[in-house]
Amino acid sequence: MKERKDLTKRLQDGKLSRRDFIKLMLATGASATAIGGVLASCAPESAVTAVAPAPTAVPAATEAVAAATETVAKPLSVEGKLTMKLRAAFMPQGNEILKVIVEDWGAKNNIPVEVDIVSMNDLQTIAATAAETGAGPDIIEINQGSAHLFAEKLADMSAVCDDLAARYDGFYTAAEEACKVNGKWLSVPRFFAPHAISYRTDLFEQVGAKEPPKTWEELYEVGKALKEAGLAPIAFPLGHAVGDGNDFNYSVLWSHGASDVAADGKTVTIDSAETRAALEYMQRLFSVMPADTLSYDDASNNRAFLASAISATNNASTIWGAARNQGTKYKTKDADGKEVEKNLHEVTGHFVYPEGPAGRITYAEFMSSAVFSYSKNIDAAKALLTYLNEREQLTPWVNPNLGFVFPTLKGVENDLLMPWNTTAKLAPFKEYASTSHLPGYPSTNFRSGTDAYAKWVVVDMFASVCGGMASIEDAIKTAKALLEDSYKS
Amino acid sequence: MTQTAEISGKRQSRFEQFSQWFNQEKILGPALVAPAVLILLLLIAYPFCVAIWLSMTDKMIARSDTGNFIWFANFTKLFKDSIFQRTTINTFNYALVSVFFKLVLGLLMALVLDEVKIFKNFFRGILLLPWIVPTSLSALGFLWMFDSQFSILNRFLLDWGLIQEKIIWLGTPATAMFSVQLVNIWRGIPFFGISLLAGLQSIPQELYEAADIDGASSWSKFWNVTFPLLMPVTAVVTLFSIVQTFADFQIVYVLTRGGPVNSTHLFATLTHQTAILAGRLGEGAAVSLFMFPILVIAVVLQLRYLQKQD
Repeated sequence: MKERKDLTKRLQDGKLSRRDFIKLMLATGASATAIGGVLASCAPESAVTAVAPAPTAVPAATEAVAAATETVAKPLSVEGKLTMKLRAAFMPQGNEILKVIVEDWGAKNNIPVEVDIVSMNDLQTIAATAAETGAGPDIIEINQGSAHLFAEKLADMSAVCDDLAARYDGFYTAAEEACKVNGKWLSVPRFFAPHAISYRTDLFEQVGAKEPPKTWEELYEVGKALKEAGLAPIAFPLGHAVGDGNDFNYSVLWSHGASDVAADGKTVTIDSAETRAALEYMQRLFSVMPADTLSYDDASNNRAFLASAISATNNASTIWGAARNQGTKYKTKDADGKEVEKNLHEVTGHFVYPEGPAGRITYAEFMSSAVFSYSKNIDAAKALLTYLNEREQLTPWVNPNLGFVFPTLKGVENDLLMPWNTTAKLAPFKEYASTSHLPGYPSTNFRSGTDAYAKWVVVDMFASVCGGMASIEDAIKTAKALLEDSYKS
Repeated sequence: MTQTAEISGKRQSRFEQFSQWFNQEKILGPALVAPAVLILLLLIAYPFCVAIWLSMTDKMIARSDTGNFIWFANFTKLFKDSIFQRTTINTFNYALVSVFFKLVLGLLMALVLDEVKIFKNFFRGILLLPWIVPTSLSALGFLWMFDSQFSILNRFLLDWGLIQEKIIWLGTPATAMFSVQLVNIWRGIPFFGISLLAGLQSIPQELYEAADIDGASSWSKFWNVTFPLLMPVTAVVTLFSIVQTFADFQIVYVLTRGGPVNSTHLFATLTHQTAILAGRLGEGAAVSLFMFPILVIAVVLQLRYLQKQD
């Protein structure tokens, strides 16, 4: 125990890299949960109240443990190595611990594993190439509704998913939308990258918004007040930002009661009064936003917020996380009117996506683990994916990701050590999974929904109106033609 | 002893026979060309034929069936597609404007470098850098320079009083296209510069001396000696550049992903979006093949010109 305390101290003092820390802690017999807890609380400028938990702190369900041991006990074999390509999370400590968990599993089962962590945009090309050529890694993390795209070439993961669903209260609707094709699970749900609106609590308070806005209309009012007061404006991405752009624009569309397709999955419904209302709203919102939001990619809003140039944007928890990890400062005046620097993360809050006339419906930023049927190691891959999604392995991975990843299984979100339960500021991210859907919603034609999404139809419809490149009517007409092509197939 | 000598003698003569046979032009020529032809067939001709086949099918990604043969339906559909129409205009705009400026500025670079006498190699080396640095890397650098928040370009322009308000480089159709063209031009100038410089230096000095004796001005020397003699090199370099610029991908992919609202999509980026992201392999192949006739025309024109020169 003393040894572990020493290690923790050395990590806190910056004398030990996180990776070495994890390795050494494992050598002392510490559980991954305990390590994750320490990592989460050891980021500089810690605002988290989470204490390093004792290894016994997790109330593990007995069946779960039994099942886990069973998986371990079964002798597994692989041809060559079990290779996997995973999406890089924006919290480096999360990637590091995930690698350790996988390697640890490999060592326990005597299976050589190779984990590669790559950016989300590369994953899609890797998966497409693998699907078409029939060669590539055993496990690839794919995004959104890609399972529908690659359906014919994917191995059936129903056994894994049914088992996990039975043990952990089932999966969220969006996970089923993304991974279940014709009644079969073709990919194992992995995580949501949950979104909320990151905002500056101090600036919102200055314009009288003590409580965060609950509706889109209230958000506009705050944005207007901020602009009139000459404070940093609110800013939401309208460029080809794969995550943030789609997330925001689909959410605005759906929560106004509009959709691109009817429940039948064929009839294009974009030409509606609701779409016009959504577009008119965005036009107004854009008038209180900086115009460069038209060029925002996924990183632009993070940078602008961290530079105190904007006061609110939609994002995963990474803005707050980066501000905290890097000790980012913002300038303000103290009581005597003297300029001082303070910690940005302290005035960075989150609120759930506002409600529209149709309530709160959000876009799911979603990842799942696919195994292509060309793989010669399907059984080992199934065992590993089961293992990774069990509570014992989920908690130590989710915890240090500080809200960037959200489990797809309903039964674990209330666990004591989930970041939204240890850190009040992350609580709004908890709602995202239950209100989220995939492009193609409200139908089940996610194959065509993915096609429309890949073409940026919805984002571009909003952007062209906001940027003055098209009238509302023209934008709808263009979108309609493109959507009709998408939903024809 | 005598036996081994005999054998080695026999061997030698066999080897000699082989080398004599191999040294004939009709054998050696094809043998030396064979590896290159094989590579071309495997890596260029085969994929090209597959692409033509794909473009006439409705093949989707990750489907076992090979798709239905639908003749030119993909092409006729594309003509009506608003994103494709926009992309066609973009690609021509992007390629023609970029190649024109690369040519003019590259020629200027060559003429200046030709006059530089001190630290010759240093200047040549350093000016070649934009072309050597991997495109995706330099594009990432430009992504920062065009960043709406931290653009160093805006900073300079504001400081010098040339603009009153920040330019949103990648946020409006016109400035976004200008930005990606600027990066392409910046990257392509050295290729023109160095190639044309080599051309310049192969022009016989006597011609200039003769022009001097005739009392020709600098302009007249350029127009009557340099320009015509540089034409063959220029034609080849321009051909290469047109081919490359029409097929450009990385700069747009890194900087805008085709946005805002498809105003910077090129054939190559649209191909990626259609075939890889949306999974329509057949249609994606059709998009990429639209480049083909344009490039064929360019190649034919240039080759004709070169033949005339010979």
